[in-house]
Amino acid sequence: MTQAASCTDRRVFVLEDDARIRQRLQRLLEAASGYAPGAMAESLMAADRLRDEARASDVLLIDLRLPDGSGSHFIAEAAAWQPRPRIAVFSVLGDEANVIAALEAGADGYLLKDLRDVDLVPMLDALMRGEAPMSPAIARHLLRRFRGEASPGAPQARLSERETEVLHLIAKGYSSSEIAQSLGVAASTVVTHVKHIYDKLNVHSRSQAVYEAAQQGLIRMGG
Amino acid sequence: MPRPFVEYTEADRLQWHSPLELLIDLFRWLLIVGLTLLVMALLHGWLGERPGHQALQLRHAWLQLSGSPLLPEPSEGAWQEVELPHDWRGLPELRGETQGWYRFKFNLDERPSDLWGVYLPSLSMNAAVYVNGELLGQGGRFEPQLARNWNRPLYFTLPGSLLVTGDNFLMLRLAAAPSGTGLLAPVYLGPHQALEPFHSRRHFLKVTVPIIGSLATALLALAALLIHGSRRDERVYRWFGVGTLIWSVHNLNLIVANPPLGAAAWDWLWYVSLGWFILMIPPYVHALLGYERPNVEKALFAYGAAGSMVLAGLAVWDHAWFDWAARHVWDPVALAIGVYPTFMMAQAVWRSRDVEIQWLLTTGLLIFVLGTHDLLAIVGLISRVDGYMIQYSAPLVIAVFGWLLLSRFVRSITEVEALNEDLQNRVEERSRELERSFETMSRMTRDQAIQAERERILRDMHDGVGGSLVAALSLAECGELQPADMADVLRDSLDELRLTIDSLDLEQGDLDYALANLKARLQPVLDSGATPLQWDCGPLPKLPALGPERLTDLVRIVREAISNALRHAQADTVRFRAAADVDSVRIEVADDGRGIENLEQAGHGLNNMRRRAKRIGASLEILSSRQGTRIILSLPRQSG
Repeated sequence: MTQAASCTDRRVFVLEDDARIRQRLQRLLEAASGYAPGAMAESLMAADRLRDEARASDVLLIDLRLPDGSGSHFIAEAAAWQPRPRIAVFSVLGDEANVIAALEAGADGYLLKDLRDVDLVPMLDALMRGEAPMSPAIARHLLRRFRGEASPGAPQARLSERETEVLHLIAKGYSSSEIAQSLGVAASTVVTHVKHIYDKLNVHSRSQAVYEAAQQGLIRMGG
Repeated sequence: MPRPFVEYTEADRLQWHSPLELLIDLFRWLLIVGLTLLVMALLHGWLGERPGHQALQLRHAWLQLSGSPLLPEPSEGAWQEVELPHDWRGLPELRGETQGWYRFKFNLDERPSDLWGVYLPSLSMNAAVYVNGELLGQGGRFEPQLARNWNRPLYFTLPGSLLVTGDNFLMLRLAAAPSGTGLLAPVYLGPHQALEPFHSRRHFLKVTVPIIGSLATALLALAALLIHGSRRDERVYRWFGVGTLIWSVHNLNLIVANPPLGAAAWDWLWYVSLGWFILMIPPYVHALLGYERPNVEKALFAYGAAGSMVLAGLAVWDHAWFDWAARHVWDPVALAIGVYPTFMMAQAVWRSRDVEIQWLLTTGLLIFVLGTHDLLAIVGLISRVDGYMIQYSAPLVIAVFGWLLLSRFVRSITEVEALNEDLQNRVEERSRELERSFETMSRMTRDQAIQAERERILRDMHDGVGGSLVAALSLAECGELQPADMADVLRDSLDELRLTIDSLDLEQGDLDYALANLKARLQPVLDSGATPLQWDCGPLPKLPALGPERLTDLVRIVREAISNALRHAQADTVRFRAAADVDSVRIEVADDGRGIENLEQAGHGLNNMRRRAKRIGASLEILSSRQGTRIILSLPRQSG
């Protein structure tokens, strides 16, 4: 089962307080091709100590609910690093409120903790390609936001007709491949649309502001 | 009873609860009567003022009744000796004569070198004065219209050189119309510097004061009538306005020496206006005190109208008869009528301690007393040398009524302000109450909503994750649980938990979204499994009757159907189809697997589906054969 880590393997940094889950990830990542386990932190304090290792990593898997605070602090900090690692929230329930808050804090996507062993590598691959997963709940949230619930005065990013269509289909429960079929385009095109939609949400450039807002208690984040 | 103009508290009988109260009441009455007497005394003093030793008083004279304007010779005609004051009223020897000459003789020890004067404090109606044969002057025309100087003193200057040491003679021509009105009071002769101030003061008192008083009462009358014009219900303003206006007209007789009317018409106006002024007082007092006595008022006005007409007839027919009737009937009746309002006011003062009433009574009493004085002078019971006095009550009338108007105005403003403030307070209090009750209501609504949502979530967890965990537990306790089954059961539990959390985000009737969410939740299973799921979800209408709870029930039915098909049916494909027609929404989950062996003995899952379908008012059809299973859920679009 054990595979020697090659130097082209991507390092995955894990911030997770549950030792069993850390062990599972360690096991899965050691076995995964193309990925290698990096440093593992069980708290924000530990993550702070391991910052250099984290900066040297390619992927960060961050649990939000930590014993000494919210993982979103670390997400906000890491989102400003250069080069910027891929950041995924490691979530129990994948509910809308937490996922959107994490995306706004600077996360690129989320992974559910109950994922099957076999799903980990494909999901990390998608994350590395910049394919953020989008649930109907998130699509619906974005549709609302782009319909004009953004703060007035701020330059309003506009979705193209095609992007709006994609969002509508996601909100109706269509998967990427089904959307590609229904629109008569390649699946990769749909993924690109989703990526653009996320870009227009402008989550990354706003991460610092959101981080500060969270610091001041204006936005509540949990995991 | 209408609201009295003067607000006073009326008791049946005044009670004295303490000696102090008795003292206060005594003092009030003392004030009323004392003030009236004081005014009388002052007027008497002012009007009775005469030059003393500085001047010669001529009160002994010879009178010759003669219409001739020429200075008569002492030796010609019949001269009779008279003492001044000399009143022509009722003189039998007058025989209708309207003019006469008075001759005075006076002795000077030495001839004065400075300016002298002749001062006539009181006369009626016109006089011309000659000293030692030289005319000093006269008080206006002698021919019709005769100048009316009955209310004003006359004064003429003469150079000292006109006088001589020893006997000097002063001739005075007096004219009256009608003849009975003639009057001459003692004549004064002396140095101008000593004598003139007496004339000035008397002129001021007899002429200037009534002019000022008349103007003031006329203005106040106009003000009252203007107020009455906009406040018809307030009778006080009407009667006060009309009454004082009539009074102002009446006062013209005191002021005007050369009237624009004939003597008869002018006299008629004078008497009638006095009568009507007094007739206006009862309705005025009625209004003040809030009495309704229209019959009394009508009777008074009827008398006034009839009397005025009779007097007019007499004035045209015979001036002497008119004069007699006016003086002996019209004026005494008017005075008697004046007793009535004075009595009403006194009664009001007796019953209440109101200060305004007290001052009104003082005014009324003063008018009454001065009027009585005048009547006595008119009918000849007392001397008319110092003239009439009723006009001097004007300043008090003006002051009291003006004060009354002002205080009433101030009171109205204060009341309006208080009302406004009260209103504002009540509005504020009301809005505070509304705010409070709104807060209470919204808090209750909120609490209720929270409670309902809480119950729904608890029920949902009981049905969902609770059920899954209990199933897993029972399997585990039987020792029948393989690790793979365990993972399935736990994954089910997590999915149930997610459905519960998703239900928090559901909007009323949003079936489309609920199903889409389910699909997204199932996606990982579908992606990893061998059995493909065909998902065919047509455009679905909003179903407003479906709240989050019923939507979640529906989602659970579909999920149960799909996972049964995926796990147990050994199917090649599973098909989900949702479509709406006019009446209903039809959701079908079909597989091409081996079918359910015994529908009657179906497990917990199918029973749960039936129970949930019943709860959301949908019909559930389960068709199973060896070719597969179809589960059809039919939901009326207008389900209650």
